[in-house]
Amino acid sequence: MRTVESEIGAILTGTISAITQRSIFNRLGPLAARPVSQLSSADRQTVLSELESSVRLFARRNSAELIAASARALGVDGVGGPAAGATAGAAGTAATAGGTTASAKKLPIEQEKDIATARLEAWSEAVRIGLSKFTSVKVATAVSELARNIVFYAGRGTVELRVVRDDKGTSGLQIVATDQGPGIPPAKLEEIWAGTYKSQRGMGKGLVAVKKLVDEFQLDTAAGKGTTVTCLFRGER
Amino acid sequence: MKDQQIPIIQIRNCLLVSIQTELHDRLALDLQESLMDRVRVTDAKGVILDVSAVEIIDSYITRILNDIGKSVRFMGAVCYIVGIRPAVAMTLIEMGVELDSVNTALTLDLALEKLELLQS
Amino acid sequence: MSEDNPQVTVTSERLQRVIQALSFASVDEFDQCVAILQESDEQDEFRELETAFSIFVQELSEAKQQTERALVRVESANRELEAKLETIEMQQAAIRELSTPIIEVWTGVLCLPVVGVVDSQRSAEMTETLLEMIVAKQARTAIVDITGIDVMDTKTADHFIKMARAVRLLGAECVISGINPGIAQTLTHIGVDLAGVRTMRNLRDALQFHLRETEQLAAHVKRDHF
Repeated sequence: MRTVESEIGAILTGTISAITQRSIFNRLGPLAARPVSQLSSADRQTVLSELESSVRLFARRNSAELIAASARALGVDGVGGPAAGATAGAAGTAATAGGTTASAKKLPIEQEKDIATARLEAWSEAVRIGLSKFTSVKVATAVSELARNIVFYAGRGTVELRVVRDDKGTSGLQIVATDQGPGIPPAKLEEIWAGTYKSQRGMGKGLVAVKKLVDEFQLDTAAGKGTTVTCLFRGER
Repeated sequence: MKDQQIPIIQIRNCLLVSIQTELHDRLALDLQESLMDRVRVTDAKGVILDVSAVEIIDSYITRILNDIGKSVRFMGAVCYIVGIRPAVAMTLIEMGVELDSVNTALTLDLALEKLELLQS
Repeated sequence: MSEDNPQVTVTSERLQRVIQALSFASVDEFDQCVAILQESDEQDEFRELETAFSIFVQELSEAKQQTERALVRVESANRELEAKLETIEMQQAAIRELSTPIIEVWTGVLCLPVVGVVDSQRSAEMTETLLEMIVAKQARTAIVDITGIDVMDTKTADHFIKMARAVRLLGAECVISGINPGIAQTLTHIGVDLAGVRTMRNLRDALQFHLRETEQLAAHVKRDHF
Protein backbone atom coordinates (compact mmCIF):
# COMPACT_ATOMS: atom_id res chain seq x y z
CA MET A 1 0.00 0.00 0.00
CA ARG A 2 1.38 3.40 -0.89
CA THR A 3 1.02 5.19 2.39
CA VAL A 4 2.18 8.71 3.12
CA GLU A 5 5.02 7.27 5.14
CA SER A 6 6.27 4.93 2.42
CA GLU A 7 5.95 7.51 -0.37
CA ILE A 8 7.51 10.43 1.46
CA GLY A 9 10.00 8.15 3.19
CA ALA A 10 11.33 7.07 -0.20
CA ILE A 11 11.93 10.71 -1.09
CA LEU A 12 13.55 11.64 2.20
CA THR A 13 15.81 8.60 2.39
CA GLY A 14 19.36 9.53 1.56
CA THR A 15 19.06 12.99 3.06
CA ILE A 16 17.28 12.40 6.33
CA SER A 17 18.15 9.48 8.64
CA ALA A 18 15.58 6.83 9.40
CA ILE A 19 15.36 7.84 13.03
CA THR A 20 14.68 11.48 12.14
CA GLN A 21 12.14 10.40 9.57
CA ARG A 22 10.36 8.49 12.33
CA SER A 23 9.98 11.63 14.39
CA ILE A 24 8.76 13.55 11.37
CA PHE A 25 6.09 10.93 10.72
CA ASN A 26 5.23 10.84 14.39
CA ARG A 27 4.30 14.49 14.15
CA LEU A 28 1.96 13.67 11.28
CA GLY A 29 0.05 11.30 13.57
CA PRO A 30 -2.50 8.95 11.92
CA LEU A 31 -2.09 10.74 8.54
CA ALA A 32 1.31 9.06 8.11
CA ALA A 33 -0.20 5.58 7.88
CA ARG A 34 -2.99 6.55 5.46
CA PRO A 35 -2.71 5.59 1.78
CA VAL A 36 -1.91 8.63 -0.37
CA SER A 37 -4.90 7.92 -2.61
CA GLN A 38 -7.30 8.27 0.30
CA LEU A 39 -6.16 11.71 1.44
CA SER A 40 -8.54 14.64 1.10
CA SER A 41 -7.07 17.79 -0.39
CA ALA A 42 -7.08 19.41 3.07
CA ASP A 43 -5.15 16.41 4.37
CA ARG A 44 -2.61 16.77 1.60
CA GLN A 45 -2.09 20.43 2.50
CA THR A 46 -1.70 19.54 6.19
CA VAL A 47 0.87 16.88 5.41
CA LEU A 48 2.76 19.20 3.13
CA SER A 49 2.90 22.14 5.50
CA GLU A 50 3.98 19.78 8.30
CA LEU A 51 6.73 18.49 6.01
CA GLU A 52 7.75 21.99 5.03
CA SER A 53 8.35 23.00 8.62
CA SER A 54 10.28 19.90 9.61
CA VAL A 55 12.17 18.97 6.44
CA ARG A 56 13.61 22.45 6.20
CA LEU A 57 15.26 21.97 9.56
CA PHE A 58 16.82 18.63 8.84
CA ALA A 59 17.78 19.08 5.21
CA ARG A 60 18.83 22.64 4.74
CA ARG A 61 20.54 22.37 1.39
CA ASN A 62 18.01 20.54 -0.73
CA SER A 63 14.88 21.05 1.34
CA ALA A 64 13.12 22.89 -1.51
CA GLU A 65 13.70 19.94 -3.85
CA LEU A 66 12.53 17.44 -1.26
CA ILE A 67 9.36 19.43 -0.56
CA ALA A 68 8.65 19.85 -4.25
CA ALA A 69 9.15 16.11 -4.78
CA SER A 70 6.89 15.37 -1.83
CA ALA A 71 4.26 17.71 -3.25
CA ARG A 72 4.37 15.84 -6.54
CA ALA A 73 4.09 12.52 -4.71
CA LEU A 74 1.07 13.84 -2.84
CA GLY A 75 -0.43 15.30 -6.00
CA VAL A 76 -0.63 18.85 -4.62
CA ASP A 77 -0.65 21.54 -7.29
CA GLY A 78 0.96 24.90 -7.27
CA VAL A 79 3.75 24.05 -4.89
CA GLY A 80 7.12 25.19 -6.02
CA GLY A 81 5.06 28.24 -6.95
CA PRO A 82 6.94 30.59 -4.68
CA ALA A 83 10.26 29.25 -5.94
CA ALA A 84 9.26 29.54 -9.60
CA GLY A 85 7.94 33.06 -9.03
CA ALA A 86 11.17 34.14 -7.42
CA THR A 87 13.31 33.10 -10.39
CA ALA A 88 11.01 34.82 -12.87
CA GLY A 89 11.22 38.03 -10.85
CA ALA A 90 15.00 37.83 -10.62
CA ALA A 91 15.37 37.36 -14.38
CA GLY A 92 13.26 40.44 -15.00
CA THR A 93 15.23 42.73 -12.74
CA ALA A 94 17.56 44.75 -14.90
CA ALA A 95 20.93 46.16 -14.10
CA THR A 96 20.05 49.81 -13.80
CA ALA A 97 16.50 49.66 -12.52
CA GLY A 98 16.11 49.63 -8.79
CA GLY A 99 12.98 47.57 -8.80
CA THR A 100 11.14 44.62 -10.19
CA THR A 101 9.72 44.31 -13.65
CA ALA A 102 5.95 44.18 -13.71
CA SER A 103 5.47 43.91 -17.45
CA ALA A 104 7.45 44.29 -20.64
CA LYS A 105 6.73 45.04 -24.26
CA LYS A 106 9.22 44.56 -27.08
CA LEU A 107 8.88 46.59 -30.27
CA PRO A 108 10.79 45.75 -33.45
CA ILE A 109 12.47 48.75 -35.08
CA GLU A 110 13.25 48.07 -38.73
CA GLN A 111 12.15 51.03 -40.78
CA GLU A 112 11.30 54.67 -40.41
CA LYS A 113 7.62 54.19 -39.73
CA ASP A 114 8.49 52.00 -36.74
CA ILE A 115 9.93 55.09 -35.05
CA ALA A 116 6.52 56.76 -34.94
CA THR A 117 4.85 53.53 -33.83
CA ALA A 118 7.40 53.05 -31.04
CA ARG A 119 7.02 56.54 -29.66
CA LEU A 120 3.23 56.36 -29.67
CA GLU A 121 3.40 52.98 -27.95
CA ALA A 122 5.83 54.40 -25.37
CA TRP A 123 3.61 57.38 -24.79
CA SER A 124 0.47 55.38 -24.14
CA GLU A 125 2.41 53.01 -21.90
CA ALA A 126 3.73 55.97 -19.87
CA VAL A 127 0.24 57.43 -19.52
CA ARG A 128 -1.15 54.00 -18.62
CA ILE A 129 1.21 53.50 -15.68
CA GLY A 130 0.42 56.96 -14.35
CA LEU A 131 3.41 59.08 -15.35
CA SER A 132 2.59 62.79 -15.61
CA LYS A 133 1.65 64.43 -18.89
CA PHE A 134 5.06 66.12 -19.11
CA THR A 135 7.01 62.98 -18.28
CA SER A 136 5.01 60.92 -20.77
CA VAL A 137 6.00 63.28 -23.57
CA LYS A 138 9.63 62.98 -22.43
CA VAL A 139 9.32 59.18 -22.52
CA ALA A 140 7.95 59.30 -26.07
CA THR A 141 10.68 61.71 -27.15
CA ALA A 142 13.45 59.55 -25.67
CA VAL A 143 12.06 56.47 -27.44
CA SER A 144 11.86 58.46 -30.65
CA GLU A 145 15.56 59.39 -30.38
CA LEU A 146 16.66 55.85 -29.56
CA ALA A 147 14.54 54.25 -32.29
CA ARG A 148 15.86 56.76 -34.82
CA ASN A 149 19.43 55.93 -33.86
CA ILE A 150 18.65 52.25 -34.48
CA VAL A 151 17.16 52.89 -37.93
CA PHE A 152 19.94 55.27 -38.97
CA TYR A 153 22.99 53.51 -37.61
CA ALA A 154 22.15 49.83 -37.19
CA GLY A 155 19.32 49.32 -39.63
CA ARG A 156 17.32 47.18 -37.27
CA GLY A 157 16.90 46.45 -33.61
CA THR A 158 14.36 46.50 -30.82
CA VAL A 159 13.01 48.89 -28.23
CA GLU A 160 11.71 47.27 -25.10
CA LEU A 161 9.43 49.05 -22.66
CA ARG A 162 9.50 47.60 -19.15
CA VAL A 163 7.27 48.70 -16.35
CA VAL A 164 9.31 48.58 -13.16
CA ARG A 165 8.21 49.05 -9.55
CA ASP A 166 10.49 50.70 -7.02
CA ASP A 167 10.57 49.74 -3.34
CA LYS A 168 7.64 52.05 -2.64
CA GLY A 169 5.54 50.37 -5.32
CA THR A 170 5.66 53.37 -7.67
CA SER A 171 5.72 52.41 -11.34
CA GLY A 172 8.44 53.73 -13.58
CA LEU A 173 9.33 52.95 -17.17
CA GLN A 174 12.55 51.38 -18.31
CA ILE A 175 13.52 51.65 -21.96
CA VAL A 176 15.99 49.21 -23.46
CA ALA A 177 17.06 49.94 -27.03
CA THR A 178 19.14 47.15 -28.54
CA ASP A 179 20.74 46.62 -31.92
CA GLN A 180 23.37 44.34 -33.43
CA GLY A 181 24.73 47.17 -35.54
CA PRO A 182 28.32 48.39 -35.94
CA GLY A 183 28.55 49.70 -32.37
CA ILE A 184 30.12 53.01 -31.40
CA PRO A 185 33.94 53.17 -31.36
CA PRO A 186 35.44 54.80 -28.23
CA ALA A 187 36.80 57.84 -30.09
CA LYS A 188 33.39 58.58 -31.55
CA LEU A 189 31.77 58.08 -28.18
CA GLU A 190 34.07 60.68 -26.67
CA GLU A 191 33.06 63.15 -29.36
CA ILE A 192 29.39 62.39 -28.76
CA TRP A 193 29.60 63.15 -25.05
CA ALA A 194 31.71 66.24 -25.72
CA GLY A 195 28.99 67.42 -28.09
CA THR A 196 31.40 67.78 -30.98
CA TYR A 197 30.22 64.78 -32.97
CA LYS A 198 28.19 65.33 -36.11
CA SER A 199 27.26 62.58 -38.51
CA GLN A 200 26.56 63.14 -42.17
CA ARG A 201 22.88 63.17 -41.40
CA GLY A 202 23.40 65.87 -38.83
CA MET A 203 22.45 63.61 -35.97
CA GLY A 204 24.62 62.61 -33.06
CA LYS A 205 22.84 64.76 -30.55
CA GLY A 206 20.21 62.14 -29.87
CA LEU A 207 22.16 60.17 -27.27
CA VAL A 208 23.18 63.28 -25.36
CA ALA A 209 19.57 64.47 -25.46
CA VAL A 210 18.26 61.16 -24.12
CA LYS A 211 20.85 61.13 -21.35
CA LYS A 212 19.75 64.57 -20.19
CA LEU A 213 16.11 63.56 -20.29
CA VAL A 214 16.15 60.36 -18.25
CA ASP A 215 16.71 59.57 -14.57
CA GLU A 216 19.15 56.72 -15.19
CA PHE A 217 21.22 56.05 -18.28
CA GLN A 218 23.50 53.21 -19.29
CA LEU A 219 25.21 52.64 -22.61
CA ASP A 220 26.83 49.35 -23.59
CA THR A 221 28.54 49.30 -26.94
CA ALA A 222 31.31 47.40 -28.64
CA ALA A 223 32.55 47.81 -32.18
CA GLY A 224 31.03 45.12 -34.36
CA LYS A 225 28.76 43.81 -31.63
CA GLY A 226 26.04 46.41 -31.43
CA THR A 227 24.72 48.88 -28.92
CA THR A 228 22.35 48.66 -25.99
CA VAL A 229 20.99 51.75 -24.28
CA THR A 230 19.17 51.17 -21.02
CA CYS A 231 17.44 54.10 -19.39
CA LEU A 232 14.86 54.69 -16.74
CA PHE A 233 12.10 57.18 -16.08
CA ARG A 234 11.24 57.04 -12.41
CA GLY A 235 7.64 57.11 -11.31
CA GLU A 236 6.38 60.25 -9.61
CA ARG A 237 4.89 60.18 -6.16
CA MET B 1 3.01 57.24 -46.80
CA LYS B 2 3.85 58.82 -50.12
CA ASP B 3 0.36 60.12 -50.86
CA GLN B 4 0.18 61.87 -47.49
CA GLN B 5 0.99 65.56 -47.78
CA ILE B 6 0.76 68.55 -45.52
CA PRO B 7 -1.27 71.34 -47.19
CA ILE B 8 0.29 74.77 -47.53
CA ILE B 9 -2.24 77.60 -47.45
CA GLN B 10 -1.54 81.08 -48.68
CA ILE B 11 -3.10 84.09 -46.97
CA ARG B 12 -2.07 87.33 -48.66
CA ASN B 13 1.71 87.24 -48.64
CA CYS B 14 2.01 84.67 -45.94
CA LEU B 15 2.22 80.88 -46.16
CA LEU B 16 0.43 78.92 -43.51
CA VAL B 17 1.16 75.30 -42.68
CA SER B 18 -0.91 73.57 -40.07
CA ILE B 19 0.63 70.24 -39.13
CA GLN B 20 -2.26 68.06 -38.08
CA THR B 21 -0.64 64.68 -38.31
CA GLU B 22 2.07 62.72 -36.58
CA LEU B 23 5.18 64.29 -38.08
CA HIS B 24 7.23 61.38 -39.35
CA ASP B 25 10.57 61.94 -40.98
CA ARG B 26 9.70 61.54 -44.65
CA LEU B 27 6.75 63.89 -44.27
CA ALA B 28 8.89 66.53 -42.58
CA LEU B 29 11.48 66.41 -45.33
CA ASP B 30 8.80 66.62 -48.04
CA LEU B 31 7.30 69.59 -46.28
CA GLN B 32 10.64 71.34 -46.16
CA GLU B 33 11.05 70.86 -49.91
CA SER B 34 7.59 71.91 -51.02
CA LEU B 35 7.60 74.87 -48.65
CA MET B 36 10.77 76.26 -50.20
CA ASP B 37 9.21 75.87 -53.63
CA ARG B 38 6.15 77.78 -52.58
CA VAL B 39 8.16 80.58 -50.95
CA ARG B 40 10.04 80.98 -54.21
CA VAL B 41 6.95 80.89 -56.43
CA THR B 42 4.68 83.08 -54.30
CA ASP B 43 7.25 85.55 -53.06
CA ALA B 44 5.80 85.13 -49.58
CA LYS B 45 7.20 87.34 -46.85
CA GLY B 46 6.27 85.09 -43.97
CA VAL B 47 5.90 81.41 -43.20
CA ILE B 48 3.90 80.23 -40.22
CA LEU B 49 4.11 76.63 -39.02
CA ASP B 50 1.35 75.69 -36.63
CA VAL B 51 2.55 72.77 -34.51
CA SER B 52 -0.20 72.89 -31.88
CA ALA B 53 -1.33 69.42 -32.91
CA VAL B 54 2.18 67.95 -32.79
CA GLU B 55 2.62 66.15 -29.55
CA ILE B 56 6.18 64.98 -29.84
CA ILE B 57 9.13 66.90 -31.28
CA ASP B 58 12.52 65.23 -30.99
CA SER B 59 15.98 66.47 -31.92
CA TYR B 60 15.62 65.32 -35.53
CA ILE B 61 12.34 67.16 -36.12
CA THR B 62 13.83 70.17 -34.34
CA ARG B 63 16.69 70.13 -36.79
CA ILE B 64 14.28 70.08 -39.72
CA LEU B 65 12.32 72.99 -38.25
CA ASN B 66 15.58 74.91 -37.75
CA ASP B 67 16.57 74.12 -41.34
CA ILE B 68 13.22 75.40 -42.60
CA GLY B 69 13.72 78.57 -40.52
CA LYS B 70 17.19 79.15 -41.97
CA SER B 71 16.16 78.51 -45.57
CA VAL B 72 13.15 80.78 -45.22
CA ARG B 73 15.40 83.50 -43.87
CA PHE B 74 17.88 83.03 -46.71
CA MET B 75 15.00 83.66 -49.08
CA GLY B 76 14.25 86.94 -47.38
CA ALA B 77 11.19 85.83 -45.45
CA VAL B 78 10.41 85.29 -41.77
CA CYS B 79 9.46 81.98 -40.20
CA TYR B 80 7.24 81.61 -37.15
CA ILE B 81 6.47 78.45 -35.25
CA VAL B 82 3.22 78.73 -33.32
CA GLY B 83 1.48 76.58 -30.77
CA ILE B 84 4.39 74.64 -29.29
CA ARG B 85 2.88 72.61 -26.47
CA PRO B 86 4.18 73.16 -22.93
CA ALA B 87 5.33 69.54 -22.59
CA VAL B 88 7.18 69.75 -25.92
CA ALA B 89 8.88 73.01 -24.87
CA MET B 90 9.87 71.46 -21.54
CA THR B 91 11.29 68.37 -23.24
CA LEU B 92 13.33 70.35 -25.77
CA ILE B 93 14.77 72.56 -23.03
CA GLU B 94 15.72 69.58 -20.88
CA MET B 95 17.33 67.81 -23.81
CA GLY B 96 19.39 70.92 -24.45
CA VAL B 97 18.07 71.06 -28.01
CA GLU B 98 17.80 74.57 -29.38
CA LEU B 99 15.03 75.70 -31.69
CA ASP B 100 16.81 78.94 -32.44
CA SER B 101 16.52 79.51 -36.17
CA VAL B 102 12.83 80.29 -36.02
CA ASN B 103 10.67 82.84 -34.24
CA THR B 104 7.95 81.60 -31.94
CA ALA B 105 4.50 82.93 -31.17
CA LEU B 106 1.77 81.69 -28.87
CA THR B 107 -0.96 81.64 -31.49
CA LEU B 108 -1.51 82.00 -35.18
CA ASP B 109 -3.19 85.33 -34.52
CA LEU B 110 -0.19 86.72 -32.66
CA ALA B 111 2.20 85.47 -35.32
CA LEU B 112 0.17 87.17 -38.05
CA GLU B 113 0.15 90.35 -35.97
CA LYS B 114 3.92 90.25 -35.57
CA LEU B 115 4.43 89.55 -39.27
CA GLU B 116 2.16 92.42 -40.21
CA LEU B 117 4.22 94.77 -38.05
CA LEU B 118 7.38 93.69 -39.83
CA GLN B 119 5.94 94.55 -43.18
CA SER B 120 4.37 97.87 -42.31
CA MET C 1 33.79 -2.40 30.32
CA SER C 2 35.96 -0.41 32.69
CA GLU C 3 34.64 1.15 35.86
CA ASP C 4 35.47 4.76 35.00
CA ASN C 5 33.85 4.57 31.59
CA PRO C 6 30.49 2.88 32.15
CA GLN C 7 28.16 2.10 29.26
CA VAL C 8 24.65 3.54 29.28
CA THR C 9 21.98 1.45 27.68
CA VAL C 10 18.99 3.28 26.30
CA THR C 11 15.90 1.82 24.69
CA SER C 12 15.19 2.93 21.16
CA GLU C 13 11.86 4.30 22.40
CA ARG C 14 13.60 6.78 24.71
CA LEU C 15 15.93 7.84 21.94
CA GLN C 16 12.90 8.30 19.74
CA ARG C 17 11.33 10.50 22.40
CA VAL C 18 14.38 12.74 22.59
CA ILE C 19 14.42 13.15 18.83
CA GLN C 20 10.74 13.94 18.85
CA ALA C 21 11.33 16.49 21.61
CA LEU C 22 14.10 18.09 19.59
CA SER C 23 11.97 18.26 16.49
CA PHE C 24 9.35 20.10 18.53
CA ALA C 25 12.06 22.47 19.71
CA SER C 26 13.20 23.09 16.17
CA VAL C 27 9.75 24.28 15.17
CA ASP C 28 9.53 26.55 18.22
CA GLU C 29 7.18 24.38 20.23
CA PHE C 30 9.25 24.49 23.39
CA ASP C 31 6.51 23.61 25.89
CA GLN C 32 5.75 20.35 24.14
CA CYS C 33 9.46 19.66 23.86
CA VAL C 34 10.03 20.12 27.59
CA ALA C 35 6.93 18.09 28.39
CA ILE C 36 8.25 15.13 26.41
CA LEU C 37 11.70 15.42 27.96
CA GLN C 38 10.24 15.39 31.46
CA GLU C 39 7.95 12.42 30.79
CA SER C 40 10.53 9.77 31.55
CA ASP C 41 10.90 8.54 35.13
CA GLU C 42 14.04 6.45 34.73
CA GLN C 43 16.88 7.43 36.98
CA ASP C 44 20.03 6.87 34.94
CA GLU C 45 22.69 9.00 33.22
CA PHE C 46 20.57 9.39 30.11
CA ARG C 47 17.95 10.96 32.38
CA GLU C 48 20.58 13.57 33.30
CA LEU C 49 21.11 14.25 29.62
CA GLU C 50 17.38 14.70 29.19
CA THR C 51 17.26 17.10 32.13
CA ALA C 52 20.18 19.07 30.74
CA PHE C 53 18.42 19.22 27.40
CA SER C 54 15.21 20.41 28.96
CA ILE C 55 17.04 23.18 30.85
CA PHE C 56 18.80 24.21 27.69
CA VAL C 57 15.51 24.28 25.79
CA GLN C 58 13.86 26.35 28.51
CA GLU C 59 16.71 28.82 28.36
CA LEU C 60 16.47 28.89 24.58
CA SER C 61 12.74 29.47 24.78
CA GLU C 62 13.25 32.37 27.17
CA ALA C 63 15.95 33.92 24.98
CA LYS C 64 13.78 33.52 21.92
CA GLN C 65 10.87 35.24 23.62
CA GLN C 66 13.11 38.12 24.58
CA THR C 67 14.33 38.48 21.04
CA GLU C 68 10.78 38.43 19.74
CA ARG C 69 9.75 41.14 22.18
CA ALA C 70 12.72 43.23 21.12
CA LEU C 71 11.80 42.67 17.48
CA VAL C 72 8.25 43.81 18.13
CA ARG C 73 9.60 46.96 19.76
CA VAL C 74 11.91 47.65 16.82
CA GLU C 75 9.12 47.04 14.37
CA SER C 76 6.76 49.43 16.05
CA ALA C 77 9.53 52.02 16.19
CA ASN C 78 10.07 51.44 12.47
CA ARG C 79 6.40 51.87 11.74
CA GLU C 80 6.38 55.10 13.68
CA LEU C 81 9.38 56.33 11.75
CA GLU C 82 7.77 55.42 8.45
CA ALA C 83 4.59 57.24 9.41
CA LYS C 84 6.67 60.30 10.27
CA LEU C 85 8.53 60.13 6.96
CA GLU C 86 5.23 59.89 5.14
CA THR C 87 3.97 62.97 6.96
CA ILE C 88 7.11 64.84 5.97
CA GLU C 89 6.69 63.81 2.35
CA MET C 90 3.06 64.89 2.37
CA GLN C 91 4.01 68.22 3.89
CA GLN C 92 6.71 68.71 1.29
CA ALA C 93 4.18 68.03 -1.46
CA ALA C 94 1.80 70.51 0.14
CA ILE C 95 4.54 73.12 0.37
CA ARG C 96 5.48 72.54 -3.25
CA GLU C 97 1.92 73.03 -4.34
CA LEU C 98 1.53 76.15 -2.26
CA SER C 99 4.78 77.56 -3.49
CA THR C 100 3.84 78.02 -7.12
CA PRO C 101 1.17 80.70 -7.13
CA ILE C 102 0.85 82.32 -10.51
CA ILE C 103 -0.95 85.62 -10.64
CA GLU C 104 -2.34 87.34 -13.70
CA VAL C 105 -1.24 90.85 -12.74
CA TRP C 106 -2.37 92.48 -15.98
CA THR C 107 -4.10 91.38 -19.15
CA GLY C 108 -1.64 88.99 -20.74
CA VAL C 109 0.91 89.30 -17.94
CA LEU C 110 1.58 86.47 -15.51
CA CYS C 111 3.68 86.82 -12.42
CA LEU C 112 5.39 83.97 -10.62
CA PRO C 113 6.89 85.05 -7.29
CA VAL C 114 9.54 82.55 -6.21
CA VAL C 115 10.34 82.12 -2.53
CA GLY C 116 12.78 79.75 -0.89
CA VAL C 117 15.02 77.04 -2.23
CA VAL C 118 14.74 76.09 -5.88
CA ASP C 119 15.95 72.58 -6.66
CA SER C 120 15.60 70.85 -10.02
CA GLN C 121 12.35 69.12 -9.10
CA ARG C 122 10.71 72.32 -7.89
CA SER C 123 11.95 74.34 -10.83
CA ALA C 124 10.59 71.71 -13.22
CA GLU C 125 7.22 71.85 -11.49
CA MET C 126 7.19 75.64 -11.53
CA THR C 127 8.08 75.73 -15.21
CA GLU C 128 5.40 73.19 -16.10
CA THR C 129 2.75 75.16 -14.25
CA LEU C 130 3.92 78.44 -15.76
CA LEU C 131 3.90 77.07 -19.32
CA GLU C 132 0.40 75.64 -18.89
CA MET C 133 -0.81 78.99 -17.54
CA ILE C 134 0.76 80.94 -20.40
CA VAL C 135 -1.15 78.83 -22.89
CA ALA C 136 -4.38 78.90 -20.90
CA LYS C 137 -4.30 82.68 -20.39
CA GLN C 138 -2.70 83.48 -23.75
CA ALA C 139 -0.16 85.53 -21.81
CA ARG C 140 2.44 87.47 -23.76
CA THR C 141 4.72 88.11 -20.84
CA ALA C 142 5.73 86.05 -17.81
CA ILE C 143 7.47 87.83 -14.98
CA VAL C 144 9.44 85.59 -12.65
CA ASP C 145 10.05 87.58 -9.49
CA ILE C 146 12.93 86.27 -7.39
CA THR C 147 12.89 88.92 -4.65
CA GLY C 148 12.28 86.08 -2.20
CA ILE C 149 15.43 84.23 -3.13
CA ASP C 150 18.43 84.76 -0.89
CA VAL C 151 21.05 82.49 -2.36
CA MET C 152 21.75 81.96 -6.02
CA ASP C 153 24.30 79.46 -7.25
CA THR C 154 25.16 78.31 -10.78
CA LYS C 155 22.62 75.49 -10.57
CA THR C 156 19.76 77.70 -9.46
CA ALA C 157 20.65 80.28 -12.08
CA ASP C 158 20.61 77.52 -14.66
CA HIS C 159 17.08 76.56 -13.60
CA PHE C 160 15.88 80.12 -14.24
CA ILE C 161 17.66 80.33 -17.57
CA LYS C 162 15.94 77.12 -18.64
CA MET C 163 12.60 78.45 -17.45
CA ALA C 164 13.05 81.61 -19.49
CA ARG C 165 14.02 79.61 -22.58
CA ALA C 166 10.98 77.36 -22.27
CA VAL C 167 8.70 80.39 -21.99
CA ARG C 168 10.32 81.88 -25.07
CA LEU C 169 9.77 78.64 -27.01
CA LEU C 170 6.04 79.05 -26.52
CA GLY C 171 6.34 82.52 -28.00
CA ALA C 172 5.96 84.55 -24.84
CA GLU C 173 8.45 86.93 -23.25
CA CYS C 174 10.10 86.01 -19.95
CA VAL C 175 11.35 88.68 -17.59
CA ILE C 176 13.22 87.95 -14.38
CA SER C 177 12.75 90.65 -11.80
CA GLY C 178 13.88 91.28 -8.24
CA ILE C 179 17.52 90.32 -8.50
CA ASN C 180 19.05 91.87 -5.39
CA PRO C 181 22.53 93.43 -5.40
CA GLY C 182 24.00 90.46 -3.53
CA ILE C 183 22.76 87.97 -6.10
CA ALA C 184 23.80 90.23 -8.95
CA GLN C 185 27.33 90.27 -7.53
CA THR C 186 27.41 86.50 -6.99
CA LEU C 187 26.20 85.88 -10.51
CA THR C 188 28.93 88.06 -11.92
CA HIS C 189 31.46 86.46 -9.62
CA ILE C 190 30.62 82.86 -10.55
CA GLY C 191 30.39 83.84 -14.17
CA VAL C 192 26.76 83.01 -14.87
CA ASP C 193 25.73 84.28 -18.26
CA LEU C 194 22.21 85.61 -18.20
CA ALA C 195 22.48 86.59 -21.84
CA GLY C 196 19.19 86.06 -23.57
CA VAL C 197 17.25 86.44 -20.34
CA ARG C 198 15.68 89.83 -19.78
CA THR C 199 16.18 91.05 -16.23
CA MET C 200 14.51 93.93 -14.41
CA ARG C 201 15.15 95.46 -11.02
CA ASN C 202 11.67 94.93 -9.67
CA LEU C 203 8.14 93.91 -10.52
CA ARG C 204 7.15 97.51 -11.30
CA ASP C 205 9.89 97.92 -13.87
CA ALA C 206 8.99 94.58 -15.40
CA LEU C 207 5.34 95.56 -15.74
CA GLN C 208 6.33 98.89 -17.18
CA PHE C 209 8.49 97.09 -19.70
CA HIS C 210 5.58 94.94 -20.79
CA LEU C 211 3.28 97.93 -21.17
CA ARG C 212 5.89 99.81 -23.17
CA GLU C 213 6.32 96.77 -25.41
CA THR C 214 2.62 96.42 -26.10
CA GLU C 215 2.37 100.15 -26.71
CA GLN C 216 5.18 99.89 -29.17
CA LEU C 217 3.43 96.95 -30.75
CA ALA C 218 0.35 99.06 -31.10
CA ALA C 219 2.42 101.84 -32.59
CA HIS C 220 3.73 99.43 -35.22
CA VAL C 221 7.35 99.47 -34.32
CA LYS C 222 9.50 96.60 -35.44
CA ARG C 223 10.79 94.52 -32.59
CA ASP C 224 11.94 91.32 -34.17
CA HIS C 225 15.47 90.96 -35.31
CA PHE C 226 14.63 88.92 -38.37
